Amino acid sequence: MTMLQRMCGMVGIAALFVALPDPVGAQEPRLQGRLQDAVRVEVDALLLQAREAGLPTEPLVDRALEGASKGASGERIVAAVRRLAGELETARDAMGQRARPEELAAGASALRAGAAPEDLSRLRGYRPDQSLTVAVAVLADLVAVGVPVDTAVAAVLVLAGAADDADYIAFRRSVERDVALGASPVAALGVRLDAATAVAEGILDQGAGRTPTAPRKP
Amino acid sequence: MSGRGVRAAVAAAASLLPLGQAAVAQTVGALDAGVSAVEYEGYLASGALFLNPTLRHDTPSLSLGLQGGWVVFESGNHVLHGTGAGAWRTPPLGRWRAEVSGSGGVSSYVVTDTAFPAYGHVLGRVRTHYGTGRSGAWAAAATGHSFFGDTSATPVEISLGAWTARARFAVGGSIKHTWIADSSYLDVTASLRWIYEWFELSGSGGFRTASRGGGSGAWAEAALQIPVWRPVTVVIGGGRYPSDPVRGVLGASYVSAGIRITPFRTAPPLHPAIGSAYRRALESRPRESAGAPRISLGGSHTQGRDILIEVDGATRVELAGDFTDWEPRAMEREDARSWRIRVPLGPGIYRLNIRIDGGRWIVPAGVTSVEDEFGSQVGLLVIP
Repeated sequence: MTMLQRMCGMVGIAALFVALPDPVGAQEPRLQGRLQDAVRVEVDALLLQAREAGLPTEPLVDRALEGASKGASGERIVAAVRRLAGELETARDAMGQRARPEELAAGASALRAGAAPEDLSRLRGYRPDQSLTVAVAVLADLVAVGVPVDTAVAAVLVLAGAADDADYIAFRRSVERDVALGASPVAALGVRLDAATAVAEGILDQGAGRTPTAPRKP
Repeated sequence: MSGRGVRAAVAAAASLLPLGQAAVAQTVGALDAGVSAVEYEGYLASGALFLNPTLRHDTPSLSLGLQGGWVVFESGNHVLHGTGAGAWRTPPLGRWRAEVSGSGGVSSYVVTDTAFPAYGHVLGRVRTHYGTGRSGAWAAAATGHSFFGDTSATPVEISLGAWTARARFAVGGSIKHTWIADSSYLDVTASLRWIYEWFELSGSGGFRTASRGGGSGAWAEAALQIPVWRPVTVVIGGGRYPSDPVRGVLGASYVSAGIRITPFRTAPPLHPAIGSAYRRALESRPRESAGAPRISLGGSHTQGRDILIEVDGATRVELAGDFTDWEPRAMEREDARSWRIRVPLGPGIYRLNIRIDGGRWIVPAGVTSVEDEFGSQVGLLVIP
């Protein structure tokens, strides 16, 4: 082998090293010292896959840190991160490639709560140019307080045409309060939805900016 | 929504399920009328007029009662309600006695711009009582139907109580656990009735804890009754009472003043120490949160958003969540029960837990609690 051949070979090996993922560079610094090494390697691999797939990694890191903070086993942490990555991907497919990271995180919560990907797609259809973060987060939250998924989806979709984010929050609080008072989640949601849509129609008619569920005198 | 009047009706119904019994048959009619300032949970404060007629009949073994109510608010909206109740007691078996009772009621919040379904309830209860004429204890269980519009729930109430009475005062306490729909909670209540020469003072207080969807917190209220001239009594009251999801009562703070006219009474009053006021106090409803931490959002700032925690008796409050990389962050004390921390929060959904005095990580009231994937609960905080 000539010197030139040897040099070419060394360059090729060096290029191979450059082309391979840098195991050090791929590590998420915030996980350092929070996870056992073996667990961290697995989580870093999942983060790398998510990054390559164009998914936000911040929620995945948060989930791993939550598990670490709560003293969960490494197996459980890895499983939680893997599951969330799958939900983020499903949410992205449903909400569009342009969906922002916070929208995807909210979408993943909604999917976890029981919403279907089609529900997220429909919501995107109603609000193509607006952030879905709060609407989807409220959807996830409504399901979490006991509203059946189909009912919660229907409510969020009904409000999608006229409600802004603050309206969604106020709506969700009203439902939660009624449920706490003993109303069934479905009844509470129905009542609040009637009130919100009635006022929203008035808002559209009058161009006013009143919050549908703002406190008022009894 | 149900109003103060409904709660009064509930109390009256509860008073039909007494600890003791009338020595002779007695029928009493009364009419309460007055004004109040009330602030229901979720509503602004408002003035109100109320009118509550009551009719009850007691014998040594039977109690029957009816109460109606009409509360008119400043807005012109009003609450109508009606409640009926009855109780039958077995003859004493030594120091034991059993009681079967039932009550039913409906209330309607009549407003001009919102379709609000009626609340209602039908409840049956069994109770065993052990004691003498001066003190006793009881255990009870109740169930039935509570409805709100077209939907209904089957509440279950399990309660224990004890009381003691002397010539001029009576005190009691009870613990009641309630399950209804998705909610459950534990109410601890204490009550006092004191009869002086020319007035009667009754009060009750308590707290709700171990709550899942039923709210939590402390409450207290008191009423002063001053007989002016027969048959008129001036009644002044105030305080805070808790929600009662079973009977559709919305929690509120109030002050009220009115008169009670008792146009007829067919027999002397019941034994003063175990009369209706004491029984009403002993049976009366629950409260709101005592000591349970509650989270709320403060204002937005360039450096982030304030998160507030209100909790009684804490010396250290920590918060951890997505926005702290799940590192515990100590909150700053604002006053005796308020704690604050400023964190960077954009619109979105966040997961968090708090820790009081180094205890376990918990989910405060005010956010939705869901199962995390690590064997505990985590709160979901939605930021608009």
